[in-house]
Amino acid sequence: MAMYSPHVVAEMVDANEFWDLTRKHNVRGVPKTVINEGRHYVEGAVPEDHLVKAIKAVVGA
Amino acid sequence: MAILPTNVKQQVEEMFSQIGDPIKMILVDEGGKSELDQLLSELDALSPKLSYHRATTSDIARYGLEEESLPSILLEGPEGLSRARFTGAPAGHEFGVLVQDIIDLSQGKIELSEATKRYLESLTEDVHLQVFTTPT
Repeated sequence: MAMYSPHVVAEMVDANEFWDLTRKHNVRGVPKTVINEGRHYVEGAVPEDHLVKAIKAVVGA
Repeated sequence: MAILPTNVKQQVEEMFSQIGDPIKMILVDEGGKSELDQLLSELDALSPKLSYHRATTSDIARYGLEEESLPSILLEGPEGLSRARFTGAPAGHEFGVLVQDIIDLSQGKIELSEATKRYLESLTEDVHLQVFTTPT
């Protein structure tokens, strides 16, 4: 998505190394995708349309 | 001592034969001896189309990063800096993601459904995705 849209930044975070971020976003299982600093999140490796739905919940359709 | 075992190097070298346009890997960190620096140097040696640059903390603004998110690995392709990046070590499964990202970026390959592409084209607000993972 980040390769396709100039509006999207995708960051893979090593949860073991970034404890502050991990704690801040209450990461208890991985993968966990945090959208716009915690305005929404998705747990697990979800299908593409599931992630799109979660993004829509944050920035609109 | 090498970080990547010989058999992994061979596999990655074979995958990197698919690299299209040249890709630059950029490590932004505090300098000094680091496993990430060594890992990226080892990857760099596996393809003539790859290059590696180590940036310093004074470059973080230039790369749109924050000090809390170092070390970061960025990729630069023919269309400039990629917006997909790695915060911390790409260990375990994420190592494969890094290798695949390099290849995809070099080929301009996007594996998204048409519906997702249409939605992304309609975006007017910025979206920041942080995918938390652990090495497994």
